[in-house]
Amino acid sequence: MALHIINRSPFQHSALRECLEVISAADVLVLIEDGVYAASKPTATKGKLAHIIRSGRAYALQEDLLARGIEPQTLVINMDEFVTLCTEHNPIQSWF
Amino acid sequence: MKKILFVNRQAPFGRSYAKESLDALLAASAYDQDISVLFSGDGVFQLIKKQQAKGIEQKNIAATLPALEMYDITKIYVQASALSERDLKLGQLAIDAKPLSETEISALTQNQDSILSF
Repeated sequence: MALHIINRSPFQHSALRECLEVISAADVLVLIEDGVYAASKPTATKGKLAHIIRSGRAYALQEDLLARGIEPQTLVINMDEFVTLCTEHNPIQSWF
Repeated sequence: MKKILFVNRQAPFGRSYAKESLDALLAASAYDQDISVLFSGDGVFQLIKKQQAKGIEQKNIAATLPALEMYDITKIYVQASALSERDLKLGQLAIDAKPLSETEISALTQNQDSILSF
């Protein structure tokens, strides 16, 4: 199972869209930095991302959500849990 | 006196544009110019009141924005469609910003001597 990390806003960059085009059924998605904007309703309730969220495979980093004042539809993780996820998955692909 | 428009199109923390724009705005305000500020696209995310940026070791951009009024910068605008695309309401913003349509933004832009983009 791969882990995909996205750190760009879905409104300004194609990183999330391109990731969603190739992500596999059991893969996990982690939204960090400006990527956490995808965790809020306008993006998170649509299409493939909504499906990944419903199946509990999408996470957003707590520090980045709090900084930006975003209410997430995804699961929320702290930095330690992010590190744990990274140790549990292989390969890890960054989208930026 | 020149008409200067500051255009903010970037989200607040991923890059340093938001902070640099604010620094430039406050500096420009000392020169007695006719200054307007527009938040469009992802720039509207700068305005969200509920920011807690301590965890990523940065300052809340939104907490600094009320300073604009103290520097007599009162022509503050926000792209209405950018707010609605991001499911944001005026009540969630840290400062009063006048929502503008694309037609109004185009008129605002035409009317300037200089435009500074961030």
